[in-house]
Amino acid sequence: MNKLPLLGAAVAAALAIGCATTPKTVPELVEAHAAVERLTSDPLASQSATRELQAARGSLDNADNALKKNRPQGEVVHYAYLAKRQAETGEARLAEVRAKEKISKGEAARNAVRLEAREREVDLARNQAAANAADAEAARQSALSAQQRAEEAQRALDEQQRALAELQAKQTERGMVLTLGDVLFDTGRSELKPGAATTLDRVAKYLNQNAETRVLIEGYTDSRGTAEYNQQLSAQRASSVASALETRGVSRDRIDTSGKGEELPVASNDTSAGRQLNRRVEIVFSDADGKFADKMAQR
Amino acid sequence: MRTLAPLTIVLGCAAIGCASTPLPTAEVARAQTLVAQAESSQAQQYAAADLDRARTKLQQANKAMDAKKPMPANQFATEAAADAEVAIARSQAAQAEKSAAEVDASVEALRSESQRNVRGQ
Repeated sequence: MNKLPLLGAAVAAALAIGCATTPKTVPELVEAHAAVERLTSDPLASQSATRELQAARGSLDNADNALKKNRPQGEVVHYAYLAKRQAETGEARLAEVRAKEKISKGEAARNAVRLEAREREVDLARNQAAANAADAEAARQSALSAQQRAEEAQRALDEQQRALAELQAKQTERGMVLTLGDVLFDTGRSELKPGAATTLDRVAKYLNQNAETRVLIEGYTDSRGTAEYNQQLSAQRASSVASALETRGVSRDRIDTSGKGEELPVASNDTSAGRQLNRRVEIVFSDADGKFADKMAQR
Repeated sequence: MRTLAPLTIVLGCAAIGCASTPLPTAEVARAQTLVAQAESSQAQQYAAADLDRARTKLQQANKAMDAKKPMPANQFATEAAADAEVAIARSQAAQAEKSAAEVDASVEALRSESQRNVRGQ
């Protein structure tokens, strides 16, 4: 665009001095014009390469003037070179400005991604913490209820033990066993004497309070008389006790009876004191769930 | 001074054939400074051709100074300065572009890592 006045100037100059030197285009000047033009057309140049643009235009004017005034070509080339290089410096400045904009955008994007990631981590940690708290609470609850159950079971057991102890039942390998002495029966008889009532009341009360508990009632005798007679007598006495409990509200289903006769003496049959101990009825209690400690006790 | 200088040159030129045109000491010093600045801007790495041109022209300017030739000394010095400025600007632009590419790459890396973490959840 600037070529026309330039050419005009060259022609005019040539004409003025009588065509002593043919007006010629200086390729360096053409290049310089192109470079300055390129920088000028960049919209960013007017604000970010002001100084370079100004310098390049000044040098370009100098070059044009040198040509116009028919100065030595070296001078034209020199100013053209300066103009081109100054324009190139301006272009490089703009490239730098654009790169720096890109950097700050990139850094902003990087911060955004980081922030996003951090927020996600925080969320994750928060969710994890909430989940952990829920787990901990559940664990605490289940530990609590397990402990409560254990305590309850222990209390029930203690209660049962205490109640049986009140009955003067003894803890044996077969479980709790209550021994009713021979004073409850007359010799050779299987009917319970009235004195047995208090003890049987207590046993019935206990059984009524512990509905799952079962009892095994076993009759025993000393070794006097025939074994067969003794067996029958012991069975009848066990049965009497069972009936007595039944009349006190204990279901017959929960009671087993057995006549053991002369078997399993607890003392020597050679003395009257020993024989007295051997004449007895034993009530074996199951646990609260109806299970006997010793399978032998279940017949 | 400024108004006197051309007059002096004109008078000098007339009297002793331009021998007294002052040497462009300031222009050469400026070129010298800019070349040094280009070197410290890592132009050797990022704008080697421009730096080489500046150095060569600075040498030529100094030679012309030694030979007491003001005109070529001035031209060489100003062109050396222009070349050094190009070298500085291009070196700085190249470094900024390199940083921009690095930032871009790191954003990409961060994004893909972040995506991977999301999927890994």
